[in-house]
Amino acid sequence: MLTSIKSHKLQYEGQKLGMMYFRVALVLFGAQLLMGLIAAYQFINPDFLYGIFDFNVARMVHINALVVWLLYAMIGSVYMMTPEETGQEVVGVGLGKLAFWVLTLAVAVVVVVYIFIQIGPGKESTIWLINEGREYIEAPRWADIGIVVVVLIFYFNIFATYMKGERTGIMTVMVADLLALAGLYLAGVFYTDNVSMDQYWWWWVVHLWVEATWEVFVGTLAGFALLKVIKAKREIIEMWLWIEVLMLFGSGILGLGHHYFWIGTPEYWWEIGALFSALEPVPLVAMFVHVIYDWGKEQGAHGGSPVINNGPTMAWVTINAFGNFLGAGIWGFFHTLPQVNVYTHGTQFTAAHGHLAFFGAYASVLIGMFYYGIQKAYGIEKLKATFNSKMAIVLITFGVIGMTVALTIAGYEQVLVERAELGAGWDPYFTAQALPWMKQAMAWRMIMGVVTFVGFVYLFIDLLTIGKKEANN
Amino acid sequence: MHPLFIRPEIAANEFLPIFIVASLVLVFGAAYAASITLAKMGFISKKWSFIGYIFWVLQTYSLYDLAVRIHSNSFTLKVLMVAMAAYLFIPHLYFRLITDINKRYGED
Amino acid sequence: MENGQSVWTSIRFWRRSAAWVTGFASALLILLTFDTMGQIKMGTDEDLQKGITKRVPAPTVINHHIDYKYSKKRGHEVPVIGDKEPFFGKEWSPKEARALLHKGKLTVQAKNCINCHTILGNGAYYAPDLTKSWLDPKWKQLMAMTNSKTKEEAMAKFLQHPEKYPTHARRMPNLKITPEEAQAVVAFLKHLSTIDTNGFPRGFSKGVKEFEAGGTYAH
Repeated sequence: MLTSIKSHKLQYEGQKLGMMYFRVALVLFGAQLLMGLIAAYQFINPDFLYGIFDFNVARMVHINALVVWLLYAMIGSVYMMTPEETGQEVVGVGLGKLAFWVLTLAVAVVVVVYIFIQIGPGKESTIWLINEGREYIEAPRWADIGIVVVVLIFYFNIFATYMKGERTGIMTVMVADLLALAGLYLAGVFYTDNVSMDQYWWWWVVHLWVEATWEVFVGTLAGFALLKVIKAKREIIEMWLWIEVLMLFGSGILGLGHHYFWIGTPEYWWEIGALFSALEPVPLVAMFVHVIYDWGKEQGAHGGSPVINNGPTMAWVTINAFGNFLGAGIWGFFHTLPQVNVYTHGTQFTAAHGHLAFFGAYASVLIGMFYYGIQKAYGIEKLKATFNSKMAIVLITFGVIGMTVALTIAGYEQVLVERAELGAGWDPYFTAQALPWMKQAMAWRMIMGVVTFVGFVYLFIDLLTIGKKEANN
Repeated sequence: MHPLFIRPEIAANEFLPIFIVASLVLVFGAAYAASITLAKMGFISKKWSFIGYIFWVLQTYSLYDLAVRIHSNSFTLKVLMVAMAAYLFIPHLYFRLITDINKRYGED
Repeated sequence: MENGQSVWTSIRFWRRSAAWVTGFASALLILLTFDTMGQIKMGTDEDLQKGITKRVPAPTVINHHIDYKYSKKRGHEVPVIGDKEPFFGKEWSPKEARALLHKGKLTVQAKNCINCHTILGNGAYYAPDLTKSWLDPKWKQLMAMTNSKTKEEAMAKFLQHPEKYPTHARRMPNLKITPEEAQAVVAFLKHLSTIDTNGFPRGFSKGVKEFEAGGTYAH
């Protein structure tokens, strides 16, 4: 079915490889949503699949599929943009294709093991073969090693192409950022009995990915998209990108401190974490203002008929600017200061923030890149949004915002009852879970999850058909 | 050593205002920056740009209120207010920067 | 100055600034990491004997009574390591305790606990936080339900057959935890409760006083 997305019009093999990554990313995105629906339903009916496919399994596959599809879409995007930026075919693309199949096979095996074997005995062999039991990076050690090898091949592809071809500012940021992103993964590949130590380094992977290197990654990608989609001036994008890097890394790297309030680490992280997480929204506000500026210029320059040559991509990149500010900015900030975080840490607030931020900051712009890939693959001059594209945008955005609002209400109730009034623990936890506010919030989260999933179905159909439809027009 | 943060109990009825003002800090901050930018671009008449400054005042008040509600000490409070004074200039500088870049590297 | 243009709009200037800021932030993070590593290194049995407080104590802390009490100096609760008490009816040597904690931590990872529970507040939100679970007053009820003489015995029995002791509609599934693994997990949880978490969670189970009378602040 997925082969109905053609890539014959692409002139570079590297870009065809990018499309291969996109296809798998799309499937994993669907898997992520299905697992999310199962987990959401278990909140409402805890007997559902009890003892067969428990919440911890559904939730693990839910978040792992998320991370892996985002990484697939990111790798795909890099393969899409590298030949265009450098003016070069990707160096060693054959090796890259081999790596793709190895990685995809490994992902398939890991998922099958997650679903059918689920857990193992408390021995090293489980960590190596079944699952590592650390949130987001549950992949067993053998897969870790495989991932490192594949990423090294990918990085060789990109770096060698960069060195050979034209070294644009956008590519420079990308190559540097990818190195940091890949290197950070190593911080998560070890075992220790000391749980504080464990979580200290675990956050190096998780935080320095999603609040630093991934942010810079999507900033670079959005810059590239604007370059292509509205034909923005390269120098302007480039300079803007460096300012963004300055702000994102300047606040994001030490923003790591807000995860070190309560895991056994010293108290000075309160001050550092509070200061830098207060700064973290600044680049997001700046991006937001920048989009307004660009939009305004566009209106003025072309008398209301902007030169957007890819409607869906532009729409998703715009959602990115807003979603990033809302999800990562507002939803991140209001529960992050240590005075408040001692109550909000580890509640549904985190889930609310997670849903909106992952969607707003990452999923949106990467879906935009899917459309960019389709446009190139079918050689379409001007890709216009179809009915399906619009339905996908509306339903997915509405669904995610709905889930976020529901989880925020759940989190608020949990903070008040479980944390502030009762002080955490077994009975306080279940007392809060049993209140109608929590139950209704969970029902609404389920409904909004279904809305999101329907939006995904539209997206899926649209991505399979829009190319052929528009190419014939 | 005197701790910079004294983390007191937060009363149950204080949580909602805290979450709301914390969000408002960012909402007003973005609204201030956006309205100054739009006014400078000519989408809003210049004489209405005072609305932007109202957003700034509201943001400053929200931040002050947040700091008081979470029992920040007086030193932190002063630093925050100085930061807000500095933020008054940021959208102007930022707009200068983007227009200067556009002037230098040119559209088309 | 590139061609007499202002530095303000120079790509080179911003590129360099970005590199400097990133480098400075990274350097500071690495420096702080060294300090933190020293502070969260697991303590030794000797530290425990001498009464030296460590943020993460030695595994032999399982031989002691644990409490979680308000510290005036710190302004929040801190773990208090008390007198010796038997753990599963005996005192564990440093070597035994280390091996037990090792098995416990491995089991916690192998059974994928954090995709329902949180540990130190990190994980999933489908089940209670485990940070101070050793101190949870609920174990008294479980002691009666499981017909156990000690808390650790009740915890171990519960962990092996959680489906037999439901307390709410949402039940923990049977994770095929063996008796040895259950003992090790209980040791992990007891050790976990001794980590200095800067007062998280605040006022642990203080409201449980409404559920039962008496006891200290935490239990």
